[in-house]
Order: sequence, then C-alpha cells, then structure tokens
Amino acid sequence: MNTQTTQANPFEYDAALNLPADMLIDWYIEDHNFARVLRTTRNVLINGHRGSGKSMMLIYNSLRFQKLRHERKQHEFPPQHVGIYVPCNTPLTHRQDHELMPIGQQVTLSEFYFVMAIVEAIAEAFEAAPVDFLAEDYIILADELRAVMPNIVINEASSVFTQMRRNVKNQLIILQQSLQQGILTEVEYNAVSFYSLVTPILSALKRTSIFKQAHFSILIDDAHDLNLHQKMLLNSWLTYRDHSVFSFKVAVAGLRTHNLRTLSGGTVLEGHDYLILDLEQPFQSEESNYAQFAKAVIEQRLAGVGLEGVAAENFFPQAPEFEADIEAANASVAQEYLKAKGWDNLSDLTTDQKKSVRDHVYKYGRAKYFRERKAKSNLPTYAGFDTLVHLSTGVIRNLLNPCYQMFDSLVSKNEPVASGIPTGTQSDIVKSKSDEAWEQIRRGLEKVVEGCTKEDADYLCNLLTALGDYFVKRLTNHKSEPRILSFIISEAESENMKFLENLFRIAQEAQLLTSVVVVLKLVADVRIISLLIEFYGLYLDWMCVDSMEEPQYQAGSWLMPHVLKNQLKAMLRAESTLNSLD
Amino acid sequence: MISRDTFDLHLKGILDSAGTSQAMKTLWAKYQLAKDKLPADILSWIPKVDGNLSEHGILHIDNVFENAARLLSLSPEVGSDGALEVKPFCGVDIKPVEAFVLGMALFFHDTGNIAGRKGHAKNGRAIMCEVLKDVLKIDEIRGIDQVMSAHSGVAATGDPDTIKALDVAPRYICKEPVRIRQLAALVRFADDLAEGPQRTSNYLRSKGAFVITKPASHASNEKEERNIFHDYASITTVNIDKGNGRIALQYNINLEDNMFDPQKGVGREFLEPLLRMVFYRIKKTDDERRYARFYGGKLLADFHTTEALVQFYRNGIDIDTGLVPLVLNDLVVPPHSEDINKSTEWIKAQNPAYDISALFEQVWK
Amino acid sequence: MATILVSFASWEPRFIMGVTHLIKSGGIDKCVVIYSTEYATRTAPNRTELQIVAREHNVELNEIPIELETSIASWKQLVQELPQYATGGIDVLFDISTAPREPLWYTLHILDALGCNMRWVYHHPGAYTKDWLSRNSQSPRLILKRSGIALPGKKTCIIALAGFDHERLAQLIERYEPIKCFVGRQTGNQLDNPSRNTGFNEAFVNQKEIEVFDFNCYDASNDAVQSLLNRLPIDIWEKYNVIGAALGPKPSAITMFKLTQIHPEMGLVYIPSGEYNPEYSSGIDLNKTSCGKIDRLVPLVLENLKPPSVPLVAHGADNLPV
Repeated sequence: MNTQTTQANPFEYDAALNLPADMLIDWYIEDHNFARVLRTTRNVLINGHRGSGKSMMLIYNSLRFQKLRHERKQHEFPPQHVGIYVPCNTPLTHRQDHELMPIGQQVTLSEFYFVMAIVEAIAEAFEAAPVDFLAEDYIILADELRAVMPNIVINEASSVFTQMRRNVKNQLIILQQSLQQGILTEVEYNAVSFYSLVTPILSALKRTSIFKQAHFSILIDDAHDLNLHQKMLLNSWLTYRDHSVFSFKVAVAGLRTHNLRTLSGGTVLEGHDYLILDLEQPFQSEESNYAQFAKAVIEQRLAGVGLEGVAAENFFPQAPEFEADIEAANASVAQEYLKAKGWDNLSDLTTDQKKSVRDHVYKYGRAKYFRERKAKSNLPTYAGFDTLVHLSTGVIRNLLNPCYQMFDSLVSKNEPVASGIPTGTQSDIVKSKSDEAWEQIRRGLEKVVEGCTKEDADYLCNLLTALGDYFVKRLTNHKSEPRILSFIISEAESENMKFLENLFRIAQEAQLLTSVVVVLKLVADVRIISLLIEFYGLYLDWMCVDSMEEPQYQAGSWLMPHVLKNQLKAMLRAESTLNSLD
Repeated sequence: MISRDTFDLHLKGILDSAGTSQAMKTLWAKYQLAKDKLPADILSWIPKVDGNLSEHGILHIDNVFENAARLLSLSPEVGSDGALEVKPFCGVDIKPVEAFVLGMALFFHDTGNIAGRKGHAKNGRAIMCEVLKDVLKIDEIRGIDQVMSAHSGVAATGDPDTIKALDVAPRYICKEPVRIRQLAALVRFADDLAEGPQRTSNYLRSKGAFVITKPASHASNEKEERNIFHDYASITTVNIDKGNGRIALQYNINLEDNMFDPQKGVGREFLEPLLRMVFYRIKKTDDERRYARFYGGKLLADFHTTEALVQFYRNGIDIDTGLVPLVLNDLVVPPHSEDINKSTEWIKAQNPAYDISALFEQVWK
Repeated sequence: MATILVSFASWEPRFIMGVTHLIKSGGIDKCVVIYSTEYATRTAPNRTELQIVAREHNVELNEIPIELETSIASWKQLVQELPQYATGGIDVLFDISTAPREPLWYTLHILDALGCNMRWVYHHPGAYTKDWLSRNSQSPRLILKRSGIALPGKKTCIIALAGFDHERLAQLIERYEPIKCFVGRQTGNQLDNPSRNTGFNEAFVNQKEIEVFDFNCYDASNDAVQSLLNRLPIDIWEKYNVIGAALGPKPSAITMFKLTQIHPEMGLVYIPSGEYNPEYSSGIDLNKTSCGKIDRLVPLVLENLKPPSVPLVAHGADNLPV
C-alpha cells in the first residue's frame, strides 16, 4: 500500500490491475525471452509469487494495452497475438454458490461463471480497444452471437460487443438474484460451456477480415483463485489440441502445488499440454536474468521522475567503508593465494591462472571479511543495489517495497533525492524490514497464513532461527562463504517428511522460503530424499536418509532432471558441494 | 500418489471384500509369500547375472506394478489407518481372482531372466513352481503362466501375436472365470511402459560400463559399442494418463558443450543413433498400445493416443527447437466421398483372396 | 405472543449468564441453542446448565449442532433444523453475543426468509482476556446466499467495520486487492479498545485507497446504518463489486446484514478462525446490553435511498460506463 507524498515516488508497487494505464505502460520492462514465450501459440503456465510481475505481464499483453502501446509507442496494431485478459481474483470467482447444488450441477454452475467471465473479457477488450471491422465482419459476429447466446438482441451489428456484455450481465444478475432468494436453491439459467460459447466467438473473430491471421491468447490471471471445478475445467481446456485459433496463458502463484487434474481424471503434462514460464527466478547472481531485469525496472522508474541516465548502482550505492573492507579482504586473500602458489605478480600470470585467482577470491574473500570482524562490531551496513536485489529473492515487489520506503523516508525529511539514497537510509530500511519479518515470524504466522497453527508457527520460527544461527556460525568459522549448505536428516520416514513439508508450505506462502524441490534418489537399498531449498539466496541441500548407515553414494544416479542439476552448475559456477556429489 | 504399494492395497481390499471364503484368504497368503520370497531370492539377483541388461530386478518390478496401478487408474487415497479410502478397484472391470492372477503374473513375469534373457518369458513358470512349491494349485499355475508368458517373445508358432495363442474363453481358477487375454495385455503393456532412468545407472554409463555384446540392429554402425538401451532409459519419462486417454512419452536429451563443436561431429555421432532409438521406441510403444487396447477389453479401452515430445538441452538449458508433441492416435475420419477403386485396392491389400480377379477364378472355376 | 430465543452456545460465561437472564426476564417459551460440533466438549457444561435453567422455567429447549469447518455444512444443517422451530409471523429474539458471524448471518437469512419478526440482543463481557482472542485464521470466504451480485469487469471495493484485530482487515485487503476500501473504526475506550488497536494507524490511516472513519460498531440501529451509508460515495454500488466485512464487535454483523437488505449487490465475507481462546472473556456486563430490531425491509427510515435497481450497464477497466 502506498503512502501519500508530496513528491511522486517512482517506486510504487501497487497491484498491476490498480495501476493507471499510462503508468503501467511506462514502467513495464519487456523481457525478450518472456515475450517470445507469450507469443507462442502453445499454452503457457506462468509461475510466480505475488509481486513477481505475472499480472503486469499479462495486462501489458492484453488487447486494450496493445492498443495503448500502439498509440504511445507505435507498437503493431491490430496485433498478431490478441490478448484477452481474464482476472480470477474477483468476487465472482470466490462465490461458493455451487456448493448448494448436487455435485454434477456444481461443475455446470462453475463453468457458467467462468465462461461468462471470459466472454465478458472478450467483449470488454474489443470495446476498450476498437478495431476497424468492416460491416461484413460485424455481420459475421452478430450472426454467430445470435446462434450461441440465447436471448441476445442485436439491432445494429456494430453494437455487437455492447450487447454481448449486456447479455452476460443480465444472465449473471438474474442468476445471482435468484440464488440469494429464500432458503431453497432452485435456479434456472442457460448452461453454457467453453466449447459452446467461447470457441464459436473466437472462431467468428478469426473469420473477420482483421483477424484472419491472428491468434487469440486467453490470459487467465490468478488461476489459483478458481474453485476446484474451474481449475479442472481449465486443465481440461489445456488438453485441447487445436491451437489454430486460441491458446491459454495462465498465471499461477505456486505451480508446484497447483491442481493439474482434468475433469476426466487425467493430468495436464508439461511439454505436452503447456510450457512453463517460471518467474520465481530462484538463483541469483549479478549476471542472472532477474538482476538485469531489476536494474532495468529501477532505472526506468528513475527516468520517469526526471532522473534519466542514473544507474541503479549509483542511486543505491554500496557503503564505501564496507566496499573498502571487502576489497582489503579480497586483496589479502589474493596475496595469500599467490604466495601459496608461488606466483609473484598478478600481471605476470596466464589467463587461466588469473581466473583461478579470481575464483579463489570470490570463494574466500567475503568469508575472510566476516570471519575477521570484531565480535562487538555493529551490524554490517546493508546497502548497495546488488544487496537489495539479492534480498528481494527474485520477486520484484520485494525490491520496490523497500526502495519505496527509502525514497519516502528522504522526502518526509525534506532531504534531496536526486543524488541517490544514502547508505545509512538504505541500511535502516533494510534492517527495519528484517525486523518486521522476524517480528511476524515470532509473533504469529498463524494469523496470516491459512492452515498454520500456533504450533506450526513456533516450529517454523525455531527452524528459521536455527538456520540463521547456523549460517552465521558457518560464515564466521569457515574459510569459504557457503552458497550451498547441506544437512542430513536421519530417520526420514514419511511422517517426519509430512511435518517438514507442511512447514515448508507455510514458509512458502508467507514468502519466507521461495522454492522447495524434492528429488528422489535411489541408491542401492537406501532411499535418499534431497530437498533443495532456497532461503534468502542460500541453497540448502537437505539429504534425508531413512537408514542410519552411512549412505553409499552411487554418484550420478540422480533422478533429478538434467535441467535442474545443470542449471545449478551453470548458475553457481560448479560449487564444490555439487562436484563432490558427482 | 500412486506407488508400488497401491496395487497391493487394492488387491488385499478386493480379496477381503470377496467374502469370508477360505479360498480368498488363501490367495492373499500366497501373494504375500511370493512378495516375501521373490525380492531376496530372485529379483535382486537378476541384474548380476548379465550386467548388460537394463534393470530387470526389484526396481523394474516396482515400476511395473506402479504402471499397472496407473493403467487401471487405482486410487492411492488411504486413511490414517493405512486402509484404502475407496472401494478396491473401483470402476475397474476386474474380479478378485483376476486381480490375484494379475498380481502374481506381474511379480513373476521377468523372473526367467535369472537364467538368461533368451526365453525368459517361458522360464518364469519353472521358477514360480520352484519358489512356491506346493503352494500354488495347478489351475493357478497354468493361469498365471499364461498371463505372464505372453509379455515378450513369440508364441510357440513363431507368431509375434503372443496373446492370440491364449485362451479366448475365460479359464476357471479357484472356480472363478479369469479373462486371460485381458490380463495378459495388461501385464505386457505395463511391462513395456516400464522405461526410464530407474532401469540404468548414470554413473556406470558415464564410466562406459555397459558394453553391447552384439551389434544392435538399429545402430547405424556395426562396430558401435555403446549400449543404446541404457542411453535411451536415461532420457525417457513415461506418463500414463488414463483420464486423457493417452500414453505421454517425454525425452529429455542433454548435450554437453563439446557436442556443439561442428568440426568434430561428436554431437551428431551421439545424437543420431539415440534419436533412431527414440523413434523406434515411440512407434513400438504406439504399436504396443494398440495391441494392448485390442486385447485388453475394458481394462485398456481408454488409451486411444500415444504422444511423444523430445526436448533438447545444452548443459541443462533449454534449446528452443519449436517442436510440438507428436500425436499418434486411433482416429480414423471417414472420407467425405468414397473412391471405390481405392477401397477395392485397400481390401485386396488386407487379404489378397479378396482380389476381384482372384474371386472370379474361384467362382467360375 | 411468546418469543423463541435463538442463541449460539459458547464456553464463555456471558453465554449462560446472558441466556439465563433472558429466560428469567420472561416471555420466552422456546429456546433454540445452536452449537458447534468442533467445540461441543468445551460448550457442554454451559449447555447442560442451560437445560436445567430451561426446565426450571418451563422453556422448551432444543439444540442444533452444526459444523463450522465449511460454509455448506453449517448452512445445510441450519436450513434443515431452524424451520422446525421458527415459522412465518413468529417473534424471534436472537442472542448474537457468542455467535460466529457466518452462522449468525445464515440464521438471520433463514429467519428472514421464513418471515419471522426478528430482534437481536448482544451481551457485553465483563472483560476480554489480555492474551490472544483467536488465531489460525483461515481463508476469507463469501457467505452463501449473501454473496452479492458480482459482475466481471468491475474492480472490488471493501466496506469493513473494524475492531481489535486489524490483521484480519489486512488479510482481507491482501486477499481481494480492492481498488477502494472504506473502514469504520470502533470508537471509545471500552474493553481496552485503544491499546488493542495499536498498529491500526500505521497500517491503514493515510493509505491512498483506504478511507478510515470512526464508527460505533455497537450501534446497529437503522440510524447507524444510515450514517454508514452517508459515509459511502453513492456510486460505489454501480462502479464496483462491493464486499462487506464485520470485523468489529458483534453488532457490526447486524449492521452489515441490514446493509445487504438495502444493497443486495453487496456480498458478505467471513474470515474463519481455527482456534478461539478458551479464556476468551469473563463475566457479563448486563448494564451495557445492546439490542435492536431487524426489519424485513428498511426503506421507511432510509427514504432518501431507494433500493437501487441492479445495474445492467457494465464498466470498462477505467470504470467508465460503457
């Protein structure tokens, strides 16, 4: 939520739907990889936390905004890929009326609500972004609508979209009014299905002169808010093989726990039925896509308030003393390494030797700094754009939120903002947000996370505290800075694992943990379950054995998909922990 | 989630619910005995007999049981007491004795491998009789043997249609009719679908431990030493999706950096035989699906489609080839207008005796 | 005409003390006690005591067990049982003191549909516990039969009457992402209100989309409803899908129910709690009992506000009429 200020704060982070259109267009950062996936004719599931930018991406690619982009930035219009934006976090979706009915009718009513929302979205899109249909195009559309929408009255063919919306609303109002009456539930309505209503409308649009070559993307936002029947309906639609007219782009928070069953009891399969676009960006480094994206977002926002050309790193500078201390530690480590290798001068080394020095400094430099800090010294100064990006853990809202507060803090004290955010301010806000997070962890996650009991909250608080303590201990007592920490959990029978999985679920919903990957590895008679967890930029590799014997590693016989393991290696520069498991 | 134990839960449930007859209780006891003895005595020894075999031991049998459960769409839901929350084999056209015969056949179908790959489908009977000596009755032995022997190889006549040779009419076991052909189709199909990384060892593969002893007929180079079966297993995922009526195959092929050096051609040398194997297996899986569907009755009637998707990676990062899934199904769309001549030729191709000229000769001989 | 007393069983002292007081005051010939099966054991002592009281005063006592876990379970049980005791024209006194809001609203809806003449009463506790009151909150859910008229293409607006637990309000806002939010904050120093309301200002006051005003949540009279309506822009009903929440003292649930009688397009939302403190409250303050009537229609008092016809005109993403 946003506090009123006298000077416009460039780091607004409101829900995408509530942003003014111009602002959304100005702020949106196009990612070519994402754009490419969105423009495919295949179904796509977009996975991302709240605040990761899913909605913004879909809205930006919806027809109304495609038209606005054409007007403001001369983007193509009409587009080849027409986006129909369908939000699901609405009171219509949250209704539970279907529960009043026998099970078969529950599906029918659920589909009615969902299909009506899609039809309304189609009509609204074309009303908000008119295209130059010919008279015969309107006739095509009007004829189709008269065939598929009962009781629609279209006197003038050009009013076809207005009448569509009117018809949808009439039907919904009459149905909901009758559902509210009395105590019995006897309603009459014209049941519709996706194939009886939406498909014919889209096919009719494709027959018009404007959209003969076009493809319609139905952009379903917040699909996790759909009821169970609607989710299964949507999954069934995803298995529809013909993508010549339309496809789905579905945004979900928490794809790993999302219901992928279809109405017929089948399952939608990645690759076969949909592609995944994962915004969760779990692995962070300066070169990662997310870091580049975050930099672009910040610099775009700064340009919007007249600070063009200001680099994000300069607006959020690192603390000079911290930088100097790190440099000194790096230099010291480099010297030690050169001496140990018997090398005299850095400048005399070969390319490979120089790389080995850099790798060594990367691994041991910061650790040396932390190890040698005095026990009574204050907390480090948490400042610098890279630090903020790292702390945001791949969720853009988690970056904008503290930036907003930092900017606001300066404005409220009438301090100048043009030269950037002082390191002290950055550090204060970061620490205060950290305190807030810990306060919430200690005081009661049970108040904010569904299905979290007081006991669960206490256990999770203990777990996170212990992990944090362990990390500090590890950092200050070991030579290298860990990027991956490994734990072994013994006696990992299913009850224990269910307990842990529940805690992880709660932590994920509270956005304390970002991702948990469970991998089953079979090693002779020992079943090893490996959990990869991201915890504020650390990757905890939990190895659970259900035997107390020393596991006999049959290295390489991972069932982990090549994708995940090799992504780790590629992005973390082959950490030694992983290498030893190979 | 469906697991190895799902089938057992349903089997126990259906045998328990078949009444208080001693015969049913005895069947469960027999099944338990097989479950106790086989892994230690036989299954865990199979890989060690011939190191070149893809895994045919415990892991494979577990996989086959899991596949059977998925093919039958058995619910894995259990209560806190570990008992099934649904009716056993709910919605499946199977009787208690049939479920027992199926379970035993799944257990024993590959035990013959302990004596070598050749003829292993037929050798299972002897092993079953030895392991469960004086436990199984003769009708049980015959029935189980029929069901499992058709899963591989050829019939005694040399016909690859091994199920055709089995009893058409139900065979009576424990005085109950058992539809041998349908169960045989299920065992065969569940076995055929038991592919994936669990059948190989990435570690041993990387060390070149698997060496073929004869040239594989599908390899382009007779001197090829690489065991393509193990490479294939490592890239394969089989999804049994009854609700959508399909078998969905997925192949994740990861290529290392050195395979992108166009001068050396290492990549192509690696990939081409592998892709040939993949395409061979896709077709085989589809053939097995149709075969199973033909003989499987209601048990396997839903599986009308085979889908296959090949995805390529470079060091774990997607390579965008734009490939969409390959879809093979049983759909036949009647043509809008008949071409009589084409139909005549088509009929003749099915059976040359239906050639018009040949018929004339018979009529006016 | 004798009155049927409907109450919701609780382990709190004010349940048994309040109902006993009402029975002793006379005019009650039948008592219907709704109780939650999840807390049956905890409420058993009070219910047993009530049976004795009822017998002593020749009041017929009936119990209706309901499950609170799901909306549909409690709705179905109430729909099945309540009509056996309440019919058209009967006077009903509803003791809402310890009724969770969801079954409270269901009971009001059913009694209203049955044509009963309804009055309500709310007994204030002597004191609330200093510790937590409720926790393990579940996902917010719309009330069956009072879910409003929701239309696609409209953004969401929340009207909330808020009390101690501003975290519930925050949860609601986070869940529905409203474009506008109108919050009536409980006034007064009763029952540690100021100290329990810490954090409210930081969370909500001066937020762009949130308008906060003071409101006496204990007053559920028609005048109070009128004053609430006066606070709201007249066009919100057409522009937005409106959701109403009663997060403050229990009478606020009556206020919101009355609001749905005038504006049936507003949906009521409830945030269930997984756990209530066994020491939730102590004692009863009979000097501060709140009560009132629920008319089946309220137009006579609010004559300036005709119940609007349900809008047929949609609005685009900018909320401009189409």
